[in-house]
Amino acid sequence: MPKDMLLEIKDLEISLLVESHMVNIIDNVSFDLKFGEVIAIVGESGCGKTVTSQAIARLLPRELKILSGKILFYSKIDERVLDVCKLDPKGKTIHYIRGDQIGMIFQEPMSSFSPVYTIGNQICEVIRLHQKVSKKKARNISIELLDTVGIPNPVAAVDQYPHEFSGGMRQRAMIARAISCNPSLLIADEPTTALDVTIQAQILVLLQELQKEFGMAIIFITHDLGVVAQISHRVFIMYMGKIVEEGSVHDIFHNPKHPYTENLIHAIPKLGNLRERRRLVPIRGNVPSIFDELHGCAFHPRCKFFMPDKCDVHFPKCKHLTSNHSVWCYLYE
Amino acid sequence: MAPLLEIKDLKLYYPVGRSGLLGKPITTVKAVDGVSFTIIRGESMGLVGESGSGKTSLGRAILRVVEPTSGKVLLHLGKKIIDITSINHDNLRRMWKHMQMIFQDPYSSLNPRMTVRDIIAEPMVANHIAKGSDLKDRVVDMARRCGLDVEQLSRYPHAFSGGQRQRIGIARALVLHPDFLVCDEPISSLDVSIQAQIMNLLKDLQQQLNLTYLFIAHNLSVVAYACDRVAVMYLGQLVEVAPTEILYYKPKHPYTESLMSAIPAPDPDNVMEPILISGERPNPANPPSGCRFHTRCQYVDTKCETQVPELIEYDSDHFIACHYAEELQLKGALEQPAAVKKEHT
Amino acid sequence: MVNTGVKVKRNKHVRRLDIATARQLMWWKFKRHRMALLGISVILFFLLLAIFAEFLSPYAPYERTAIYTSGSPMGLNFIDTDRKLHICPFVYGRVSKRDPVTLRLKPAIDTSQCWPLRFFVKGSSYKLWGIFKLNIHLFGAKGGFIHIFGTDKLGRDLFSRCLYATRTSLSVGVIGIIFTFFIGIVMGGIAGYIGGMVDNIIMRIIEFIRSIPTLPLWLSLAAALPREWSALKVYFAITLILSLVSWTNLARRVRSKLLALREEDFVISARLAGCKTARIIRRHLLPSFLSYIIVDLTISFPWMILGETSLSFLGLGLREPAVSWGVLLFSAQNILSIVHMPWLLIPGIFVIVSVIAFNFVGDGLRDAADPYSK
Repeated sequence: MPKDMLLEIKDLEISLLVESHMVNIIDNVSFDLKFGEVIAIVGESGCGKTVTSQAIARLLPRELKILSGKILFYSKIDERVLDVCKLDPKGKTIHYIRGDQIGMIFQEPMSSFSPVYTIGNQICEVIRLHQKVSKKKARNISIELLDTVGIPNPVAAVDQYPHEFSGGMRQRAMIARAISCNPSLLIADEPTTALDVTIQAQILVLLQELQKEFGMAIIFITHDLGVVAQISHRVFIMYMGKIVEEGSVHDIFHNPKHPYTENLIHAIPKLGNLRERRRLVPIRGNVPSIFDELHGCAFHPRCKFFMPDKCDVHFPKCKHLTSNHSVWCYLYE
Repeated sequence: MAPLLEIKDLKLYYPVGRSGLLGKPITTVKAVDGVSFTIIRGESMGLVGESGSGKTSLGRAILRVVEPTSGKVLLHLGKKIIDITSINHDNLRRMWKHMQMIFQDPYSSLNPRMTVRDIIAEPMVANHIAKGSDLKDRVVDMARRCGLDVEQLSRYPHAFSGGQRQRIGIARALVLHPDFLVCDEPISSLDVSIQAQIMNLLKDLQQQLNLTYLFIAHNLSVVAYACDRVAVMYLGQLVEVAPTEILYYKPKHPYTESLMSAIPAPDPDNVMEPILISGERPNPANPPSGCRFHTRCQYVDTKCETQVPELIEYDSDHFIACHYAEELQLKGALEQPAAVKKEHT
Repeated sequence: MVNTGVKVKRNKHVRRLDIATARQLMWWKFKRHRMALLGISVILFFLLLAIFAEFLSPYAPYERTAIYTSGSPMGLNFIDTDRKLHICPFVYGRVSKRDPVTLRLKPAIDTSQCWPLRFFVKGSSYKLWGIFKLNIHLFGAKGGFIHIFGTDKLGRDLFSRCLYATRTSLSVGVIGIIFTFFIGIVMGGIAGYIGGMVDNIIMRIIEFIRSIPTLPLWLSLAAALPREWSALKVYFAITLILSLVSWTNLARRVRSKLLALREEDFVISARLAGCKTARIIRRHLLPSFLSYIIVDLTISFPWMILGETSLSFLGLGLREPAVSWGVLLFSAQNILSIVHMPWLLIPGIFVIVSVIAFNFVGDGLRDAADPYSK
C-alpha cells in the first residue's frame, strides 16, 4: 500500500430497491485517492456520481443498499484502515469520520443549514462535536473560519441566520463548516451548479486556496467540464454506474480515449473559435434511465463505434494505456 | 438589416409587500428598468446576466405575458408596425401567432394531463387554424422536424426525458410558424450530452423557418455559440450590447469583463484568473445611485456614484453604459484565438 | 435528421407507465395504499346499507315490539340447550317477566323457544326509494321477533334504526359537501382569478368566519331555527349551516391553487398558444386542481358527519321523528341508559368507523392527487 493513500474504493456495488426488485446503480466502481489530491467525478444525471459520494460518507438514502465492495479509509491520525462499508451507518465510528475526517458540501446550501439557528451556532456545533473546546473557543474558531472562507465582517456574520446570507455567502459558510475540523477529505457535490458564473469563480478560487493551505484531498462531483478542467488533477468519467475512463486532467481533455469522453468534450461550446461558428457535435440518443435494460457497455446505443455482439454483450475489461490513464472500451483491446 | 422588434424604454416593476388590511404595496422591485434595444430579423440575440438581473422578466415583458409598467415594444410585420404594449387583449392573442416562447423547465411547461399530440396541436386548435387530418399532418410534420418519434405522440409528457420534452415544447412553439421566439434558458436544465442536440436543433430550425431568437441564458459559452449579438443585463438595465465576438474578446464594460473572466475554460492549460467582483449583488428593490454597478466595480470613480451612464453606441453596433468606456482597457474571455490574444499584448 | 442511435428496450414496468393516462396513474398510486382501499370498501359498504336500508332492515324505524322494550341485543345461536345443532341459526324466544325487586316488567330469555332466522321474509310494507312498493325484508325470525342490536325504550329495533340513520347522516354529508363545493369554488375562484380588491375582501370575510369558534356558531344558528319546522326543512337547514362554515377551507384552497397554477409555465404557454380564458380554465386549470379539491372534500366529509352528529346529540340538530346517528346517540345521553342499555352506543361505532374510513381514503387520495410527483 502506498504511503500517501487516503481512500481506496474497490469493486463497489450499490443497488436501488424498487418494489421488491433490485436495480444496480453503481456497478464495480473502483478508484483511489491520495492525500492532497483533487479528483473530479464527471457524469450526467443518473450516472451514480452523487451516490458514490454518499456511500463514502455512508449517507445513502434508505432505498439504496451497498451490495458488495470495500471503501477503505486510511485515517491520518491513528493510521488505522477502516472499511466504511462495514461500519454501522448510525454508529460512533462513522460519526467520527464524517465531519472530522470527511467534510461535505452540497449543491443547495440553503437546505443544508437549519433556518432556526445562526450560522455561528451551526459551525460551533460541528466543532464541539469533534473537538473538546469551550463554547467561547468554538465561537472564536468559527469567526476565524468565516474569515478564512472570505466572508466580510465575520464577527457580525457569525450571529446571522442562513436566510440573511446570499447564495454565494451560504456556500462559503457551508465550506467553513465542512473544513472546521480540518478534514483530510472534502466531498464537493455540484457545489457551484446553482451559482452565477462570477460567484462560481469565487468559490472555485476559494476551494483551490483552501486546498493548497490545508492540503486536503477533494472529490469534486460535477457535470461541468469547464469547472473540472480548472480545478482537478485526475478525472473519472462515469456513465450509468460505471467508470468508463480515468486519467489525469490533461489526458482527459487533450487525449480522451473513450468515445463518451471524446463526445462530451466535443459537445460543449468553446470560446476559442467563435469566428468559425462551427456547429456543436452532439451525442445522439438520450441519457438512459436506470430502468432501461442495457447489457454490456451502457453507452453502446449512442456510440459511433458500436460493435454488435461485442459492446452489447459484456462490459469491456479495463485497459491501462499508461500508468494512470485507463479506459473501459473494446476499441483498445 | 430590417428590425423585427424595437424595445423602447421598457419598464417592469413588481409590487412587493402590503401594508395594512387592504393596503398598497410598500415598495416596487424594478425587474426591468428602462431597457431599449433592437432585434434584427433573422438574428439570434443573446441576453445574459446574473440570476435576478431581470432577464426572464424582460423576455416575458416583451411578449407581454406579464404586463409591462411602461415603454413600447414595436413589432415590424412587413410594412406594418404594431405596438404590442398598446393593443387590446384579443389582438394580443392574435399577435402571439408571431411571437412564441420556449421555457427553461421542460417539466412544468407541458400540461401533464394532455398527450403530446394535443399539446403540439393546441395553438392551431385555439386559433382555429387547422382541423381534422390537416391538423394531424401539421402536428406530425412539426414533431418530425423537431426530432420526435412520431409513433410516440399519443403518450403523455411524463414518458419522455428532459431533452425530448424540450423538443415537444419547441414543436408547440413553432407549429404556428412564428417570426420571433424567446428562448428562456432552453438548455440549462438538460444534460450536457443533450444540450448540444437542442442547440443544433434550434440552429437548424432557425435557418429552415427563418426565425429570430431572443436567447436568454446564464451559461455564457452557450450564448456565445448560439448568438450573433449579445446584451448584458445588470440589475434590470442593459450595460453592454455588442456582436458576440467583440463582447467576448473585447468587452468594454467592467461588469462584462468580470463575467467573461469567470467562464471556466474546458482546457486545463488555460488557467482561470477571474476578476473577482467584490461585494454582494444589491437589492433590486433599492438599486444603487448613479451607475448601478459602481458598488462592485474595480474602476469606480466619484462620477459613477452620482451620474447615471446612458447606453451609448461607441463603436458601430457596440453599445456601452459606462462613463469610462473609451479609457478602460479590459480583458476578454479566457479562451481566445491566438490572433486576438496577440493584439492585446 | 436526428439520429437516435440503437433502440433501447425499456423495463416492462416503465413501459406501462409511459402510456398511462393521468387517471390510471392516480389509480395505481391509490391502489398502493392498503388502508385507503379498506376505507373505500367500508364507505361503499355503508353506502349499500344506506341505499337499501328498507330492505336490509327487518323493521320500519318506528315499528315497536311492545313486549321487548329496552331489550338487549339478541345473539344468533346454532346449538340449543339440548346440544342439538341447527343448520339455520336461531334466536331464543323472549318473555316479559316481572323483576322481583323493582316489580317492573323486564324481558328475559326463554330457552324453550327457538325462533329460527329466515331470509326474504314478508314484513311491514315499504316503498323502496319511494317507487317500488315491497314488503320483503332481507331477514326476520320465524315465530317471533329479532333485534340483533337490541331495542330502545319504546321497543324500536336499533339495527333498523341504525340503517336508516346511516342514510340520513351520509346524505347530510353529501348534500353539505355539494353546498360547500359550490360556495367554495365560486368564492375561491373569484378571489383567485379576479384578485386585487375582491380577493382581499373575500379573504377577510373568510378570516372572520374562521375566527368564530365553530360550535357556538352552529349552536346559535341551529337554535335560531323555528321549532315548528318540519323534519325535512330542519334537515336542509342543518346541512346549509354546516356548509356555511366549511366552505372557507375549500375557498382558500381553490384560490391558492389558482394563484399557483396561473404562474405555471404550461398555463403561460397555453395563453401564448392563443387559448381564451374559458379554454384555459377548462383544459388546463380545472383538470389540474380538480383532484386536489376532491381530496379536500373527502377530508371534510367526516367533519360534516361529526357536525351533524354533535348538533343532533345536543338536541339542536335533527329531531325525532328523523333518524340520524346523532339523534340515536341523543337517547344514549344519560348515564342511566348507558349503564342499563349500553347497546344504545352502537350508532357511535358507525360514526367512528365512517370517520376513520373517510380519513384513510383522504390520505390515499392526497398521495394520488398528484400522479406526477415521485
